[in-house]
Amino acid sequence: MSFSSLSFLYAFLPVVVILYFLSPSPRWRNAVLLITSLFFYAWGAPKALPLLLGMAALVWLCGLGTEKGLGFCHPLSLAFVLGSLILFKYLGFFVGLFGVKTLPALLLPAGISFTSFQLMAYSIDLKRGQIRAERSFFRFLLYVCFFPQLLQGPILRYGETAPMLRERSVTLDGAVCGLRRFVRGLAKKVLIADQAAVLASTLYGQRELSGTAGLWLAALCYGMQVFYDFSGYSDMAIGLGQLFGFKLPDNFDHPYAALSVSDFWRRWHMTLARWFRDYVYIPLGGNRVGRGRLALNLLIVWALTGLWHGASWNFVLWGLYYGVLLLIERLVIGKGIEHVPPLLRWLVTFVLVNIGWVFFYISDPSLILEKLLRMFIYMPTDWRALLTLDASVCSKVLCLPFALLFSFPIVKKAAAPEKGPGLIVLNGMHLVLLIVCIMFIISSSFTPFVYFNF
Amino acid sequence: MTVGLLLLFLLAGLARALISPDSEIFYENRPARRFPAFSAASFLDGTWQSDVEDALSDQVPAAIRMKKLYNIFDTGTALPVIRMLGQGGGYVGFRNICFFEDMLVVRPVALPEKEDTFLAAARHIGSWQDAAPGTEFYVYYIETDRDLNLETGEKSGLYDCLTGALTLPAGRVGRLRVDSFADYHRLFFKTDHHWNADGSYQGYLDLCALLGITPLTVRGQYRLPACYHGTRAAGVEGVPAEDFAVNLFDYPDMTVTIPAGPIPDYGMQSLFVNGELESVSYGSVFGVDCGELVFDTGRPGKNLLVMGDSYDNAVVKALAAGFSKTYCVDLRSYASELRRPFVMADYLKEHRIDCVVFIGGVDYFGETLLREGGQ
Repeated sequence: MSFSSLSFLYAFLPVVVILYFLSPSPRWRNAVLLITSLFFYAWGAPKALPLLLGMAALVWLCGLGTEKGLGFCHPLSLAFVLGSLILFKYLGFFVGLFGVKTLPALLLPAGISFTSFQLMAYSIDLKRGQIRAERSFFRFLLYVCFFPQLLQGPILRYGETAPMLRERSVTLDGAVCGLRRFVRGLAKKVLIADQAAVLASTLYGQRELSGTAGLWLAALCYGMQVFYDFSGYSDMAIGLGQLFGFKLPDNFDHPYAALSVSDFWRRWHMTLARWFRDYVYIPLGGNRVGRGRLALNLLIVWALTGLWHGASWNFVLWGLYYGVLLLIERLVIGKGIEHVPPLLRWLVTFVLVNIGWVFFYISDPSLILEKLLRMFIYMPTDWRALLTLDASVCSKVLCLPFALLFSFPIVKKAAAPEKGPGLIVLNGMHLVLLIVCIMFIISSSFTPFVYFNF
Repeated sequence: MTVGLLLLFLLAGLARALISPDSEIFYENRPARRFPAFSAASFLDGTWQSDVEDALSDQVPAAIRMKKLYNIFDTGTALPVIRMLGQGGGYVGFRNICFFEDMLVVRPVALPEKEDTFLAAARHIGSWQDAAPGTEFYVYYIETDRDLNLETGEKSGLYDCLTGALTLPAGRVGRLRVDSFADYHRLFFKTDHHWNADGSYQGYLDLCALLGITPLTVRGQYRLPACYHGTRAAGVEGVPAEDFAVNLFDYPDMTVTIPAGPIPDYGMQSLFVNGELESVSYGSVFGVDCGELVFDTGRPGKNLLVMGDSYDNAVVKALAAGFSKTYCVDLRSYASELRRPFVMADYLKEHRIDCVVFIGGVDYFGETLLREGGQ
C-alpha cells in the first residue's frame, strides 16, 4: 500500500489511528500496529508476506542463539538474509554476468532492501554486543514491520528503536505535528515529484527531440523527482511515526544545498549512508589505511551502494561515479575546497549530482554515454515538437520553481506556532494542502514511489 | 480537534463511498467504478486492491468536483500554449487526444500497426461467407481521423489493405470516404469520435445503396446549438460545446428488443427533438450499446444482421425500415450479456439471416472483430 493512495488515506490511516488511540495499554497499541503493519504489507505484496515473516523469525531465533553463545547463529542469520536478498533481487543480474539470459521470474518482495539491511544491522549489533537480543518475537516483528518505515525506510537501528517499542509517550501535540509532517511529505510526493516525473519521462522519452538543454532539464527534473519522491516518503514515515509516538531518524537534510559531494552524501539518504559506514566502510579499515587501500575501500562501498539501489549496471556505475568523485575530493582537492567561493562550490556540486541522475535513470550503459555526450556537445532541442506531443506537460512545469525553492532550508527556519490563532492557521493550511493533494491523486494517474523498487 | 476533524473528513469519505455509491460519472460520460466483491484470488494477484483504489477515486465525496477543478487548472495552463502551437495548423497533443484546429482528434494509425489484424479480419469474414453461401455478406468501412493524416492529407491505406484481402463478390464493399480535413470536419463531431448527423446520413445512404434498399426520406434536420461535449472532451475544460443534430425520418412502426426484453424505442431521438432530453450524448440520443438488438417491422422481406459497434447506433433504426427483421450484434458485449459465445453459423441459421453487413472503422476491423471471439 502506498501512502499516496486513496485506500491509505481514506481507509487504512483513519482506521489505524482510531484503533490505536482507543487501545487501553501500550501492549494493545503494539498489537494494533503489528497487525495493521502486516495488513499494510499484504495489501501490496500478499505473496511476499511469508518471506518477510520467515526472515524475521529466523533472525529473531538466531539473535537469541547468538546471545547464548551459539557460534553458528550469527553467520546463519546473515547468510539467510543476504541469501534471500541475493536470490530475490540480484540472482538474475549475477547469473547474467555469466551469460545466462533466461531465469524464471522471481517475485521481488517490496522493500526487501530496507528490511534486510535492518535485519542485518540487528544481527551485527547483537554480535558486537552493542544491543541485547529482543525476547519478544512480536515486539521484534514490529521493529521489522512497522508500517511507516517498512517499504522505504528510514533504516532503523534496533538499539535506537527498542526503548520506543516498550514505552513511548503519545501526545496530541505530537500527533498533530506528525500529521502536519505527513501532509507536507504527501505534498512533496504528489505536487512536486509526480509532476517532475512527467517532465523527466517526456524529455528522456523523446530521443530525437531532446538536445543539450532538454537533457539537462531532464536530469534536473528527474533529480527533483527522486528527491521529492523519497524525501516526501521519509517525511510521511517520520510524521506517521510521530503520530504513534515514535521518533524515526531523519533521512534528508536539504541535499541540494550541499557545497561538496561528500556534503551531499551527509545530507542524502542519511540512514543508508550510516549503514554502509558502520557495517562496510569501517570494518574495511575506514580512514585509518593508506591512500591505495582507502581508494579501494571507497570504491567497494560505493559500488555496493549503487548495487543496493538496483540489480543493474547503471546503478553500479552510479555508485562508482560517486566513489570516484569522493576520492577526488578527498585525495586530490582535500582542504583546498574551502578556498573556493561557496556559490561556485554549490554550483559544481549541483551540476555533478544532476549528471549522476543520468546513470540512475537510464538502465542501458550505451544510452548513458549517448545522453552524456549530448549534454556536453551542443545539440538543439525541438521544444515546439516536444510540446506538440503533449501540451499537458505545461502545468507540470509549474512545480519546478517550488521544487528548487524548497530544496533550500528556507522554510525550516520559520518555527511553527505552538498555540493560538497561528496554530489554527497553520493546521488549516495543512488541511487545504491535504485536499489539494487528494485532488491531484484523484485526477491524475497513480505514480508509485521510486524507492519502492529498491 | 484537528486530528478528530481530519479523521472525520476521511472516514466520511469512505462511508459515503461504501454506503451510497454513484452509478454514473456524467462528467466523464462513463459508468462509475464501484467497490469490487472480495475474493482470495483477486486479493493475492492484487486486482482487488487496484479495483478498490479505482472505486475510491470515483466515489469519494466531491471526487468529480475535484477532477473538474484539476482539469480547469491542467487545461487552463495548457490552452494558451495549445492555441499558440496550433496557429501554424497541425496536431497539438493533450493527454491522449490532439487539438487540430477547432476539433479534438487522434493521430492516424500506421498501416503496419494494424495490417496483420486487418488481414485476419478479412480471412474471418471470408470463412464465414464460405460457410454460408446462401447469405450475402457486406462490409462498410468508416474512415475516420485514424485513417488520415489531417496535416498532410496522407492516408494510412487501411481500407485498401482490408478490401485487398476480402474475398467478397464485387459491389459488396463500401466505405465512408474521408480524404481531407474538410471531409472529416463535415462528417464527424468536433469533440467526439463518432460521426455526426451528416456523417451518419451519408453512411446510411451508402449502406442503402450497398444493400439495395430504398432509403427513408429525410424530412430535415433538428439541430440544438452548443449543447454537446463528446467523449474526447471528457476532462478537458475550456473546449466550447458543439451543436448536436439528428436527421428527421418517418420511421415505420417496429418493435425493439434488447437482451433484457422489449423496449418502447431504441434511443431517445423524439425526446431530444422535443427538447425533453436532460443530458445530450451520442448514446442517449441514438441508443446505448448492447450485445444484441432486434428490430421487427412485421413486414415480409429479408432479415438483416448488422455486425458493428457504437457507430451503427445512429443508422440501425433507419436501416431496419428496409427489412423484415434486423438483428444488431455488438461483439464487445454479446457474450457477457447473452451468456453464450457468438457463433456466426448458428446465428445465421437460427434467425434466417439473408444479409450480413459489417459496419465499423479501425477499432472494429483491427481489434473487436477478432478479439471478442466471434466464431
